[in-house]
Amino acid sequence: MTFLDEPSPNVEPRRLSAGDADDPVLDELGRWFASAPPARGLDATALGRVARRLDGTARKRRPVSFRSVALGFAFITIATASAAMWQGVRPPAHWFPLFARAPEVPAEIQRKSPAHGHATPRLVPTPELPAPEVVVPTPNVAVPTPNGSVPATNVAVPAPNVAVPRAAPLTGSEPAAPDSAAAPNVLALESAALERALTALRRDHDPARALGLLERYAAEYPAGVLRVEADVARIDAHLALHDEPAALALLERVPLERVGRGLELRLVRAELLAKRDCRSALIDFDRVVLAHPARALDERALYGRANCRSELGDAAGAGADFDTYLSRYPDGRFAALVRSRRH
Amino acid sequence: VVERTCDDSRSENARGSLELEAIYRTEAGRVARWIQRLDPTADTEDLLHEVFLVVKRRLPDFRGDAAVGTWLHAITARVVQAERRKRRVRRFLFGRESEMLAAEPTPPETPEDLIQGRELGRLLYELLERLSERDRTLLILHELEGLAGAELATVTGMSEKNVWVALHRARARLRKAYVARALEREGA
Repeated sequence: MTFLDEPSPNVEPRRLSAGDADDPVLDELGRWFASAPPARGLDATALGRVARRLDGTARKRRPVSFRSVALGFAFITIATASAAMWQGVRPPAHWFPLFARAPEVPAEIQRKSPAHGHATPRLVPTPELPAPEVVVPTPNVAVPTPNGSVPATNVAVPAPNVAVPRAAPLTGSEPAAPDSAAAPNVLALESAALERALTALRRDHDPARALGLLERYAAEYPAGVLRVEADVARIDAHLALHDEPAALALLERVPLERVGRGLELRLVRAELLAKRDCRSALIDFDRVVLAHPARALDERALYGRANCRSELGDAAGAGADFDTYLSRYPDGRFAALVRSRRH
Repeated sequence: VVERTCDDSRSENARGSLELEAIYRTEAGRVARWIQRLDPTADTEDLLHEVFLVVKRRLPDFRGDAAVGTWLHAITARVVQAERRKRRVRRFLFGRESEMLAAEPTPPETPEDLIQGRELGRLLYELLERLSERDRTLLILHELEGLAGAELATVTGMSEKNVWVALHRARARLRKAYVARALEREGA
């Protein structure tokens, strides 16, 4: 039997340091054990110190470092927050406005949506303004030019499947998502009401009915959590009905910086404003151009800004914008007009 | 009756402290050496204090089933294991132990150190670090302290037969650690 064989339970094994193992590795280890230096122990002074400490009742305490306290505090905070979130408790939205989560669309509402065909309104965020040249009847918003010719720019109304952002970021003054047990039902009803309007607008292409449904929504949920989305839908409906003053009034009220399609709507507002107040429109055009938007928006914004600058007597600025336009979009939809103005 | 009870209690306390003093006087040096054997990097004074605090607390319950030495061994092994666990947690949390805790093992400095076997001792503890606490304690107590079966059984709380089986397995794992270390060094 070697040192490593499973022993008979009644046999006490030899110590490795005895040095008669059959295994050279164990022999070497035995040599290590045998040559391990003896423990020094403590001298009389140290033993006396420990004895004195034992006589006193106080146990030696290590100083608590700031790091330990901070770590403990962080641990407790994280554990508490995790437990609270696990239990479904959410902090008030205004504590963390950037991370405020949108309410989920209830499953029954998602089920009600038609699974086939086109243009199902979906309450999911999408990138800003994909392509404006889609479907919904678009009013021609005229950007005035100094010489009176009015090139029509198509004001883009979102495509049927352009989504409404899932939730409006809430401000401090706005009510937080309802906390009570009945809250999911209220939210479900509110989402359903808005969804009906969006379906009428984007799937059925019936802006008048959509507007009626949106008015009803506004009456039922004056402080609803989806009211910003509802306002955006109303803007789209007014534009589809060529009711530009109403659309502009809404555009001036909605907090565009908090809307998913904010840049696009800002451009629409600029184009509508340009008809009567180029100075205000210029601010919006500037912001759109400086935001380096998608190609379609940039093209419209550059052209609109050039026209407004020209209107306000800034010939150099207008010329620079026209040149930029031509260099970026030589085949753009306003390219011919711009060339004729430049020559 | 109350006075008598108080007197009894006082005399019991006095007897207890006398016993503790006697045990400390005779055993403290040995316990300190055990501590150093079990964990050469530990603060021996601190752990000795911890051990005798436990002894003080447990002394009234000590019925003398085992020898005092074995009983002290068991307490020492548990205190050292608890300290090593705490130190592992600290190392995990802070990456490195703070200065007030345990000095690092010093590498051999002179050829004399090598001759005295300190280097071998360091290598041995390096290997033992790769084992579980139970394997490590068993091997140290058996191989270095020379504890026999019954004593090891009392210290570890296992039956004597199980102690031998555990010891054999601990040796096998130590051997494996030795081979792994040798391969690592070759690879390096």
